[in-house]
Amino acid sequence: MTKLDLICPAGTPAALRVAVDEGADAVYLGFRDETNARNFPGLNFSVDELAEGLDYAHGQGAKVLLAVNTYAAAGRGQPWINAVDNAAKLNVDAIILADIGLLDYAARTHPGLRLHLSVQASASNAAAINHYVKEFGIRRVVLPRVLTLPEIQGINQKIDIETEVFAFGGMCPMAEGRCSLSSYITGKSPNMNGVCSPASHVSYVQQGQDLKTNLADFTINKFGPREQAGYPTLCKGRFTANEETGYLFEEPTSLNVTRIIPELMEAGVSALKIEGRQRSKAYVRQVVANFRKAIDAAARGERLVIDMDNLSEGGKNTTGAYRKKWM
Amino acid sequence: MSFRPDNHNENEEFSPLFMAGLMIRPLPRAPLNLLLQYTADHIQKSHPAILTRLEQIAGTVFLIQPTDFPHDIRLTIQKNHVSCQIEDEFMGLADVTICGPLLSLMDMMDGKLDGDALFFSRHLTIEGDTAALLTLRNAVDSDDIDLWAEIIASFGLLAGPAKAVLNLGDHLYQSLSRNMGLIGRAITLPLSKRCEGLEHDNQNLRNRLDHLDKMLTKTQNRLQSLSRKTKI
Repeated sequence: MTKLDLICPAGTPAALRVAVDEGADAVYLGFRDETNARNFPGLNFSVDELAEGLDYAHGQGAKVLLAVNTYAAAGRGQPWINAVDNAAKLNVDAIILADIGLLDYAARTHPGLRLHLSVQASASNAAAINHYVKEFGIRRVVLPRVLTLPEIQGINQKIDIETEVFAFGGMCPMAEGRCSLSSYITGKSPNMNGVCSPASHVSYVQQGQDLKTNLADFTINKFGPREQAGYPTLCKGRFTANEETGYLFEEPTSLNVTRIIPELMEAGVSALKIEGRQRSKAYVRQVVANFRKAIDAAARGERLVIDMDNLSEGGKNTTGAYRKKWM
Repeated sequence: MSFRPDNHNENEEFSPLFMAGLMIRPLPRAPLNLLLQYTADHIQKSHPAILTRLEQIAGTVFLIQPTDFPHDIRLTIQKNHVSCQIEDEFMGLADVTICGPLLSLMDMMDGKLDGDALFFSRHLTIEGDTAALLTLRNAVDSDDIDLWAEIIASFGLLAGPAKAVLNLGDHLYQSLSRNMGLIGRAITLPLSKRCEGLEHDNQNLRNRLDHLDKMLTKTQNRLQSLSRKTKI
């Protein structure tokens, strides 16, 4: 078994430097527009900042992967084309794409550019992945967070490219790239606009000791005085029906796979991805440092379980679908 | 330099900063305002990229309400400039209000603490324009700001003596934090235990009330059903 690559989020130039300093094998980032799935206000990179980031990362032996992983808007696809061209011009180590039109453009126009298939493509079986390999020559696929460990192992036995899986952070329980919950209530989605539950539609209201979290004027959750809070995403909302109140899909929680890293290696996974380009560099510092230790320990045949509840939504961690099924 | 104790004080409001705040309260605001604005100006000068990220929220007013400090702070984002002033009787409407322990807010700005984690754990409360708040947070986080170095630098020619005074303050703070943590716990422990007991009783009563509510609903449903059957 080969040692896992540690792929870390960089929402800002400072976060990139922190991730590299703490031992990231690669950082992933996006341009400051709707071409990537973390199009948050004040976040991301200009072309010049990406160039500086590449110099810094390469100087320390780390790679830089550029996410251009939203779907190009009909009739105005130029920002996405520009992003791909800039990635090629700056010699990023790989570009992470989801849109088949962009994959086709990148493969034809920049044949030397390494292509990764984004989780946003929602390729969750070997046939789909092999199609992307055959048509566009992708070299790595980021698997959706809805697969179990045996399912990942099964896929790896039928494909010849690397697989990357989510290891820590936001626990998306939906078929990514196809989830319409956010756009149903706000008109904006991660797939088209790069934002799930966009900040422009979020409000937090203190009611005495209680905290009400709202999305587009709908109350998504109400946290009591001693409860840990979470983001107002519909998939983690608390609803009342038939006189019972509870979580419908998933409760506020974050993914953490430190306890199953050896099993992920056995399943043939090549890289672990830390979610959280929208989080601070303090988050990046702690998570990357801990995963560096956990991956290095796993390479020595040891299992290092590190709880990071203090950084997690709802103050809780889960191994997600890797060990459970929603349906 | 860090003014943060190694052991996070659960009772953060009762801290040396809180005591210092009581002493600061009667002082004239002008010198504090000067220090705040000099520091803000120095940060803007040494980290110009932050201003570029803030351009999209020009005109936004943030009201920062430290829970352990006697003054509120108003941060106004203008095009190419950020103004920072003490604001105790704010008559206007802030676009965003941020409330939390001052040292946590400063550590967040310094890149030592994660704002989302503070929010999850309820140490930080925010109200108002969430997009503007995120813009500010991401802009400040996009560069490496050493807040204490910036504060010291804002003293200009007096930076040397200011550093010595702040170092002394740091030692005092660490020492007082430990002692005040003990004093705070001694004062609040009996009350906390009593509160926990009351909350436990309260929860039991709530559970019993919920149970009785459900029983009542079931009985009403059964009565309605029986009544319908009797009519038939």
